[in-house]
This record gives sequence, C-alpha cells and structure tokens, in this order.
Amino acid sequence: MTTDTLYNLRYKAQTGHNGYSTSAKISPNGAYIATSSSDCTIRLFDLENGSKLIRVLEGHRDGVNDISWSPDSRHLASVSDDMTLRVWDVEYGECISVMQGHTYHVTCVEFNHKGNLLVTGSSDEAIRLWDALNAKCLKTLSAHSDPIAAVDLCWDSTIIASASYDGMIRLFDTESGQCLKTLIYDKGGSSFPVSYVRFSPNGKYLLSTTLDNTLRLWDYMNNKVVKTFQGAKLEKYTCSSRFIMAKDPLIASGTETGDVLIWDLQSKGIIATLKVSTSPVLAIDVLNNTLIAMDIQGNLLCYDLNEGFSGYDSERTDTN
Amino acid sequence: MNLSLLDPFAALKEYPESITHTLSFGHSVFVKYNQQGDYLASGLSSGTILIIDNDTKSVIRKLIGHVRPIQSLCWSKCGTYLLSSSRDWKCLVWDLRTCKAVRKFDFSGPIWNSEFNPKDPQEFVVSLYDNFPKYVKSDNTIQTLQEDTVLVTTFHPSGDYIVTGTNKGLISVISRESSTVIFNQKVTNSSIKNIIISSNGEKMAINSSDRIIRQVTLPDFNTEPKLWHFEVENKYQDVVNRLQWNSIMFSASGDYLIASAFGSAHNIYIWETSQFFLNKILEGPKEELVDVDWNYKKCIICATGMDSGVIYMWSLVVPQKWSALAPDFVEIEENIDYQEKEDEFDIVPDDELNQKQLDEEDEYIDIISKERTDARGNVQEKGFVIPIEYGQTISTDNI
Repeated sequence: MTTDTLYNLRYKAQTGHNGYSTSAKISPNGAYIATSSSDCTIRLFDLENGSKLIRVLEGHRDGVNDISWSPDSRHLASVSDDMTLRVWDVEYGECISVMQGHTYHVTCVEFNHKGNLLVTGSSDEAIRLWDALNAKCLKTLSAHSDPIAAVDLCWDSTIIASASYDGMIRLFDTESGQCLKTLIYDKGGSSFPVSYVRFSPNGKYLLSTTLDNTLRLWDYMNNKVVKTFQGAKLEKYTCSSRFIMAKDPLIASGTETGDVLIWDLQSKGIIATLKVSTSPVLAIDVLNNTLIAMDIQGNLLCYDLNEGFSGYDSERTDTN
Repeated sequence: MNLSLLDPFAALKEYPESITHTLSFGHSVFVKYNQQGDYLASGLSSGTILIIDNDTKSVIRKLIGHVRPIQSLCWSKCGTYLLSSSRDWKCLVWDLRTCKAVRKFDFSGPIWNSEFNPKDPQEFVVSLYDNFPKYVKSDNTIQTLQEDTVLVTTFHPSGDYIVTGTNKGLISVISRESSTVIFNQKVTNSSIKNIIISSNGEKMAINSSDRIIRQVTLPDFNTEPKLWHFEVENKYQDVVNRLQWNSIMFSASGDYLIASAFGSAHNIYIWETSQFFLNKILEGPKEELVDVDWNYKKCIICATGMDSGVIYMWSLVVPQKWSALAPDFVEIEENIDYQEKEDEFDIVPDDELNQKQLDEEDEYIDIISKERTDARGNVQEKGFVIPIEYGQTISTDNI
C-alpha cells in the first residue's frame, strides 16, 4: 500500500507551559513524551494520547533548555539556565540529584547508552562528563570558543560530537577527553554557527545544522560533506534534526517557518513538509514509526509513518 | 568507534605500558572483565562482589551473598550472568538484570574454581578441594565429571571439552557431551595451579607449583584422541630468582602471555608466545600482585594488590593529536617545500563552488551498516547493559 502522505497526523496537543517550550523527547520504551520549558518545569505526557498530562517536574530555578531520557525510561536528565544538571525519577516525580559545575547556562544534555554517564554542553564553552550514579563531574573539556548548542554520542558511546556557535563541530574521545577531530565548513570565507549535531545510526556520519539554512551530512573520517540539505529556514534557533529509518533512510528537521521538512537522504530532495504551526519548530523526535514535533509556543503534534513507507529491516544493521 | 580516529601507532599497541588508574574499593582479591570490556567484576575478601563501570571507573552495583573471600568469578559470554565461587563453599549464579543471586549451590567443602560453559550459561564446571570435579546442569543436577581430585577445571573456548589438572601434574581432557575422560597426559610432577586456553583455542598454558609455566599447542580436537600429544613448546621461568607465578593470562590473539609473580617481585611479565622471549616487564606498585586480567576490547591489564587489595590498571596512553584541533593542521615528519598550486589564487564565484559541491554529492551513503570488527579486530556489538539504580549512591566504606 503506497499513498502520497508520508506521515499521518495522530493528534495535536498543547504542552501548556507558561513560557516557551524548548525541547521534547519520546521515552525509549515509547510510553511518554517529556517536554521542557523556559517556565522552569518539565511536563510528562502519555505518548498514546498527548493531551493526557501525567506529571509536572518542578525544581529548576530558571528555564530548562534540554532533556534526555535514561535507557530504562524511568529517569530523565535536564539542564537549565540555572547552571545545573538534574536527574529525575519519573515515576515518583522527584529530583534525585543536582549536579553543579557549569559556570553559565547549560544548553544540551545526552545520556550514554548504558545510562551511567551524562554529557552536557554549556554557554560557558565547556563540555562536562558526569557520573550519573554518584552525581559527580568526571571531566571538563574546554571545547569551544563560543556557546555549545548541541552534543551527541555515537552508538557505542565512545565518541562525543559537539556543535558550537564558533562554527566548529568537534569530536572527543569519551574515555580520555581528547579532541579527535574538528570539522569546519568555511567555503564561503566564514563559517556559520553550528546549532545542532547528530550521529548517524552506524556512527560513521554526522548530520549538522548550521545557521545558514543548511543541514550537512559529514563523512567525518574524510573531513568531507557528502550530502547537503537545503530549503529550510534556519537562521536563529536550534531546531533539532533526526534520521528516520523508513524504507529508504530519510532526514527530518524542524524549521523556523513552523514546518518539519523531510528529505530523502540519497537524492537530497524534499519529500514531505509537515505543517506544525507558524512559529519555529524547536524539537522533533522519532521513535520507530512515530514522529513528534513541538514548536516554541507549545503546539505538540504526533505523526505516524504511513505503512507504505515503513519496512526498514533492522537486520541490516548487523550485516555488511 | 573511537579507535579509528586515534593515532594508530599509539592506540593499536599490543599491550599497555603504564599504570593509569588505581581503584580502591574494598580489598579486592579477584578481578574479571566481561566480554565487552565495559564492566569489571571485583571479588572482595569480605565476599562482596562489586561491578565497576569502565567509563566512570566507579562502582555501579554491589552483589552481596557470599560471606568469605571470593575464590573465582566468571562472566557469561552474553554478559547477563556472573558465576562466583567463594571460600564459604558456595557457588552463586547472579542474574545481572536484577543483580540478584538466582541459583545457589553449596558444595560442603572448599572450592578451587568454577567456570561457565561458554556455549550455555546455564551450565558450569566446578573443581573442589579433596573431591571430584562437578558439572552443574541447567536443571540444577550435579554430576561428577571425573573420578579424580583435581585443582583446576577450565572449558575449551568451543564449549565441547573441559580440561582439568591435578596435584600430580596430570592434565585430562573431558568431553562435555559424554562426560568421559578422553585424554590424559602428565606434564609435570608438581601440582597444577592454573590452566588457560587462548581465545582461538590453539594455545594452552599451564602454571604449576614447580615455578614453570608450560606452553602447549593444542591438537585438533576433532581428530582421534589417541593421536593427541601435548608437546611442551616452551617453559617460561625466572631462572635467577626462581619466582612462583600467581596468575597467568593470554592476550586476545594468544600472541602474548602475562603473569604476576609471588613474593617480592611487584611486576607483570609479558612474553611473546611464538618466539618465547620476555617482551616487557610492566613496572608494578610497591606490593605483590595476585590476580591479573586483560581487557582485550579496551587494551587494559588490571591486577590486584596483595596487601592493600587495590586494583591497578595499566592502559594505553594516547597523546593528543594537534592536527585534530583544526581541520587545516597536518602533522608532518619533516619540512615540506611549499609549491603553489596552479589554481590556488584563482577567483571562482561562490555560487559556482557551491554548485560544484552539490553536484558532487551523488554517491550512495550507507548510514546503517556498522563495521563488524573494530580497529583491533574485536567483534563490535552492543553488549548487555546492567541497569543503573539512580539516586542510590553506593557506599564503598566498610565493604
């Protein structure tokens, strides 16, 4: 069965935050959506039915910028303008640890695949590695010369990628903290701030978003851009992007015009535009065939991949 | 994944050379890495077992069940189970999904060691003091493996054969399927302390109390046992000091053999196993080293200190590559005479450049398939992840 629509809207909901909504993430078990906001809170929703608010997590003293689910889907890490990183128990709705160390707004956070290490990036230009269990800072990496907008870890958590407003993407060795590689796209004479970065599922490529309205897929081993995705308006905000494992791999990104754009990875052509609203779509997240998109005003939309486009064979991950 | 980005001359060395970490969590007497090399199980003299994460080098789980020092530990290949034996005469099988002991065996006597069947973590062998070695099946039935008292039992990596060693220097090979002794050979007159088999199943090393480690090339186990012969290829020994060896271990490929020594030598000896020469002595701390283990995936050697119970770790130190800090930096061996390229200062409009770049992006990009092996040749796969209990700081005082 093949139809024209790539994604069908399942529902439209409101996060109800009293401020800008900054990030939205689906839990790995597919049960919840967590959203963060500049109103200092995190809200949890049922993924099945987005209007069902389960819990509000309160404790941060300033706007929450980013959240990350632990692999067990029972815990959540959040980072905030109050310079702290917090870990929450989702079931009991309580904050179980507060980690201090960054000296300015913390902008992004990511768990490793084992759930015992947290990586944060901050406007203080440093990346910090934290022992999530003992709430201790393990390493501080003086990484960039401008605020860090995003961090990501490859599938086995041995490499950290960071995107910064200084126009660089850097790769770090998780174990030693050493810088392994620096990527700059400066063909036009100057480089634009990098606002988002994401590892491909096999960890060999990096998808970067720069504020020149462009997403680029890097073959970082060879310092080469292998695909350029254009057509989105990305000049000011950090709009997240994702790889979609549809029948043919796709790239999705939020845009400042209120859409989610979806490109075919190989041909680089836009194959779908999901209209969310008219304000910037800061957060998108994908889990299997579900895609959620949230704009800055708190409109939260959930889509299902049309069956005719699904059918990615997970067996392919393990074979050559 | 990170290995391919590191300096290959530093990252792909065969063995580490310097102590980088010392972990002091209780008095450790036995250490064992899991298959993936991301968790270290440390058996303490109190009977507690600690699971230490390799990334954070901190304790993530505490397994409490034994009441006397740990005698041996063995991870299942999948990483989900841990088999422990202790001087409280018990063997426990831990399920790491819940971190609880799921099977308990009391052997009413001291245990030398116990080891999982590499093919099936529901079954294991155990060697007992002054008693016959036992084979424990998945239905918890215990059968006698061999009518002889042995000091060591170990599985061949194929899982089809078990090798045992007695206090008279006799080595036996037992077929797991039929539980019969199919081969016997005496290699020494003194008691056998350890038997190790390299992961490719080709080499075996026997550590005996006559202060000699004997290296044997194993025959093809598919042939008739009558034709087998264990020929001792080399005897590793310290001729001058006549050191007694505490614990031995092969490298991943079996190309190197390491040993810790009894008494005043505080070092780890590394031999090359095809030319048999002493390759390196790893400088140790100021105490005797007892148990050693080798993390193949991350290239770490760890050993426990006799007096302090501290775990010492030798790992690779990779220098920072300066060329990594900027994409236009290149590390060169010697000066290069700069030759201006023909088109170096040509003025090409940006649009043209961009269009050229876009036109070149037509190759097929595979974002899904992973490399099957890493740069060291180890198979890459996501191992079992032990669940984390957040918010419960694990106290490592008085353990």
